[in-house]
Amino acid sequence: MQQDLNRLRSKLKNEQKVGVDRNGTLSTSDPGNDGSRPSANGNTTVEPKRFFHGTV
Amino acid sequence: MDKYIFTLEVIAEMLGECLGSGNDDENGGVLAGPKSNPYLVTNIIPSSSYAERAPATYFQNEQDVNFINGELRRLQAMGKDFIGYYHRHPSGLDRLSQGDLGTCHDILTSPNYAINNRLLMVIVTKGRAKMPIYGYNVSLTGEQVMVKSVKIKAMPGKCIKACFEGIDINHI
Repeated sequence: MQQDLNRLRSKLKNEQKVGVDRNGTLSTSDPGNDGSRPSANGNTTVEPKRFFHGTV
Repeated sequence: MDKYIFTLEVIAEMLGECLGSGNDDENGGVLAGPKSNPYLVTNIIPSSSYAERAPATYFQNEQDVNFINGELRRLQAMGKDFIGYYHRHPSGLDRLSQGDLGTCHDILTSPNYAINNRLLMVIVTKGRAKMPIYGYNVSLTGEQVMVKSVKIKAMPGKCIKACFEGIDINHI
């Protein structure tokens, strides 16, 4: 199937970005942000984390 | 099933990092992409030499995380941010381990991760699939960790930049 990506891009570019809450409901803002951070999603700061390869 | 597009450059670097070490130690790092489209993965930040690697576990310690956050700040200045993690399973396990699920829960409940209750976890291992990369979308429903398989497609970075940035690719 062929698609004109330029046309598709201009059509979809103006769509509003949405967030999703823990129940899967779409919302226009980040439900995880109480407003104390500067933007809708803020920026991530990663923390020390451990990963595993089995049931350890 | 959700679909993510990775740049070929990310795929190549991830495979080289995880499978090219020549030993059986776990390894991994962070995946990042444009904030305007959380389904595009355009950058990779492999763990530094400070990370603690072993055959059964891999730990991004404080020093390693300092390095990763430094790289993340550079990407954030360009409108990109953290999307998820990748790590290798030398054992061949192509899904998230029980320990990984606990780590996912910690991430999803931490206020330091601005990921809108959607965490991409990628496992690199030699399994049954054509590409040894397995992607999972992880979220929290109440206190329960929900894991869903995702499709991973690869495209050259320049094509992604030209075509998809700012577009929800799941609408295509």
